[in-house]
Amino acid sequence: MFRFFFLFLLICWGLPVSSQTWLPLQYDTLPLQQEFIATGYGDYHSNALPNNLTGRLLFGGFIDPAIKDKARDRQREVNRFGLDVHTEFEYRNYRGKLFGNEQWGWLVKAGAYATGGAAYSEDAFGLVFYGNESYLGQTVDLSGTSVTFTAYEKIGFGAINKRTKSSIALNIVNVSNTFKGRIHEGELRQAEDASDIALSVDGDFTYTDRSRFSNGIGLAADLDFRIPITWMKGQTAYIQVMAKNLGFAYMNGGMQSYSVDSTYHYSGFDFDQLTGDRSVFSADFSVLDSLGILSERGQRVMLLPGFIQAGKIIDDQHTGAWQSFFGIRLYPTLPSNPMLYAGANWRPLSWLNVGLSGCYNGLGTFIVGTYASLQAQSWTFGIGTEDAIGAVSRSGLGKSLNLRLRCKF
Amino acid sequence: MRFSPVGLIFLGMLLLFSCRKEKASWNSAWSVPLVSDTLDLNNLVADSILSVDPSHFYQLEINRNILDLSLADYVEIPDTLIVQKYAISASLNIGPGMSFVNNVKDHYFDLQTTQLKKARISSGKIRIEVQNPIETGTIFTVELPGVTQNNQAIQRTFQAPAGTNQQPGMVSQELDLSGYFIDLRGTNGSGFNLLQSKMTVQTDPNGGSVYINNQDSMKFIVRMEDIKLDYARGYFGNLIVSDTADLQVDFLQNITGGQLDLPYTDIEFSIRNSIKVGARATLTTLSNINQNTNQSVDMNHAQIGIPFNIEPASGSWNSLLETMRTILFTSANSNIEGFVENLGGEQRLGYKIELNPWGNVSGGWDEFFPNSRLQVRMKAHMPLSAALTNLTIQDTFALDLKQDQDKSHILSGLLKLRVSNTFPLQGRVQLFLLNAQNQLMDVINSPTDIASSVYGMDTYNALQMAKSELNFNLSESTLGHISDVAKVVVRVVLNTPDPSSGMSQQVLIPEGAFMAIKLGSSFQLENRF
Repeated sequence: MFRFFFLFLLICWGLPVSSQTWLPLQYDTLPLQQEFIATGYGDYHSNALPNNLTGRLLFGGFIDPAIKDKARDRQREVNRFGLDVHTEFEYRNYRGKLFGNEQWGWLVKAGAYATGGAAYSEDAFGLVFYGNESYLGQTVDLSGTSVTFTAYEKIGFGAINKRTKSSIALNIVNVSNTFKGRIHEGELRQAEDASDIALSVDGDFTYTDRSRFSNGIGLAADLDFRIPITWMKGQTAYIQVMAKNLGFAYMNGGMQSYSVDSTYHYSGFDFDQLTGDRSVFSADFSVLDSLGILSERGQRVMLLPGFIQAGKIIDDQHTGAWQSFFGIRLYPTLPSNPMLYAGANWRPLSWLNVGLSGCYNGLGTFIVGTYASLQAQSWTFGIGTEDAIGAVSRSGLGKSLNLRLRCKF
Repeated sequence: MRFSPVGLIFLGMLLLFSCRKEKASWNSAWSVPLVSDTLDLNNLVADSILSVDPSHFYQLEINRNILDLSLADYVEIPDTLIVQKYAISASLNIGPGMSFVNNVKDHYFDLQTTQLKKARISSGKIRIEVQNPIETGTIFTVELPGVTQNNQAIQRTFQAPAGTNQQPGMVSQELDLSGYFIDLRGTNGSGFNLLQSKMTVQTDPNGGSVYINNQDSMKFIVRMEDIKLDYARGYFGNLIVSDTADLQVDFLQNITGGQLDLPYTDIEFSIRNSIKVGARATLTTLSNINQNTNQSVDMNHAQIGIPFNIEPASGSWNSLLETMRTILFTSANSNIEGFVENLGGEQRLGYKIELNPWGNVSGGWDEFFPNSRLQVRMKAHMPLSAALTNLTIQDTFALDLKQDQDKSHILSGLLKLRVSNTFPLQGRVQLFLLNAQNQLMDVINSPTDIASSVYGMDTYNALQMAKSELNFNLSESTLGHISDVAKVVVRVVLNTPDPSSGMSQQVLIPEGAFMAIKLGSSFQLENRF
């Protein structure tokens, strides 16, 4: 699972694209003939995991005790981690008349996405990175720990309004890989001398257990509405309401599920359990049965990890040097709160935009982002990060990079 | 070559992120219990050979059948096919309902030297078939006068359809013979191995007249199958049963060194005969073979190799009285202590038993009954006491632990063995790791021993108890090549020290003695992914 994830990450970040939906987007209200946009986005953030730990987790390297100790000091009662990596290509044609309608052009798009999140307790962090010896004679609380991840690709077709640039697209989605797990209630109790372990757990885990390109097929909608409003000094500003990858997938490849609601008490095997035909090593011994873990395999429908966003965007035709942008974004399927962001865009030169933003990232931390956007004839290239501190600091709580390449003609 | 600025940025990102040269890794410390159990003598030996003496110490009482011979396995009636034919000597015209065959015949069983006169069948079956070659229906009456149950002989009547010599009319029936007696003395009552049969044939009273000639042969066929006897009388012949049995005692085969000093002991062999037949027996050999030391000790006793007579049993069904002959091996008349202290895991016992060595001296009145046996039983009685001096027990177990250094693996560890011991035994435990070629790769020692209860400061249920903790260090070096380990030899060196002198002493095992074991592990795990 992790190998797949890393592979996907590398592929995505190796592609010459990237973007994020709220940083360097300049809304161009001019009539256009055609437009090509390549975007890419890579972001991981946490409210408690410093970059020198997550960097090694993601890119390799030894996590020494000093890194672990500093990370443990930052753990809270509830900790969150989120990850979003995607790449997308979009071609917009404004010359055509969709279904004979002069107002509407058409667009095609394709993309690949990996989205995940996790919530975990302070004890869960300690158990994973320090082992159970740190908790002898204590109770380890694992309740509320959850993890979710989905990797999928899509290809879509839609309509775009030639004047407002509002669009709607319907995508066919292929789900390559997904897993989701949660410990509703979990507690590990250990004797002082490690002679006795008791584990109470009520949880479940579901995953695609077959390694293949397509484990599920689905439909998702992309909506992008640009709404003009009257802003300060009577100027027109634009509110963007968008939803991306909202839909579902039918996992026709099947998913394996395990669920458990039991208390286990273990103080070592007795000799009868270690020897003979009925030993724990015999061929007919089932770990799942003996632990009372329910196992089920079947096809099911899952929600795709899309998001909804609403906010004021930058108007490319704005004549002033300064513009504000702000908004809110929500991932309904991830264990995070709604994101809130706001920032200012400065255009010192006609071909240059730079910006600064602040964001409550939904995981419990506030991050400061920045970006720059350059225009050269028909080309626009934007690069930005949502976490400027994380980009340079080991003690930052995440990293973010987004790129956007646009060609209008 | 020229790159655009955008191309350079993308190329840089590609180089930056596409090379993940190593896995993420970190170390964590884990403690996990592995084994928790309590061993007592019931785990090591069968309950039936242990008892407790009035002083509350265990003693061994071995009472084991070495031989249990039933003559039913040797005296038997083989699967037999009896065919009786009858043909008239001249041509006749026979009317309806007319009897024209009344034939009695003795059939001989070839039982070699056995001469059976009477027997009872414990299980088996008989199948009777009649064949009618004449052109009218016939009524066959088949009788076996010597095969009776509740004094009633087997008699069966068959309605055989009309037939020809080429295609006779046939009918058959099968009968369970369990519980039937067979008189094998024949028609004149003085023979042996003879089964009498009688056949009468009558034409169908409702049929027509038929013409038969001397070519028409009436026939019945009797098949006796799977006959087992539980009673027999007669002369059972000169039967010789001999064998050399190897009795394996697995536990003793694990003793590879050291000395065992046993107290005075004795072993009794009793030969019991509840068969009414005389016999002569010889204990040809009794050896203790230690395969670890290649030492073999033969039992020296005046009776070894010398035949002795076994008297026949007396009485009858419910009044059967067995005869018994006893051979006692003691320290006074044999080398039994040296025999046992050889600690051989293989006991070889050779014997020869000859029935009727003097011929048919009973006049054909040899008998065996359902509960008749010729048994050899071994009894040993000794206090469970021994002095052990570096008595070494070892066993080898297959081990298949794979550690991939490129995946999560154990870096180093410690096995912690905590023992609460109420046995007066002191033990040193060593683990030897061998590769597939049996080459020694590592030795894992504990600096401490399992302490004998004689040094114990605690008591449990009035038993003196010593507690000890043994630590076995699993170094990085050991775990680095654990994947090459194919076997682990566990060696325990036992002593029975005197608490004051430290010298080995004879010790008794107190009633309820146990050894509580808790094996735990503590290890450093390198997590890699």
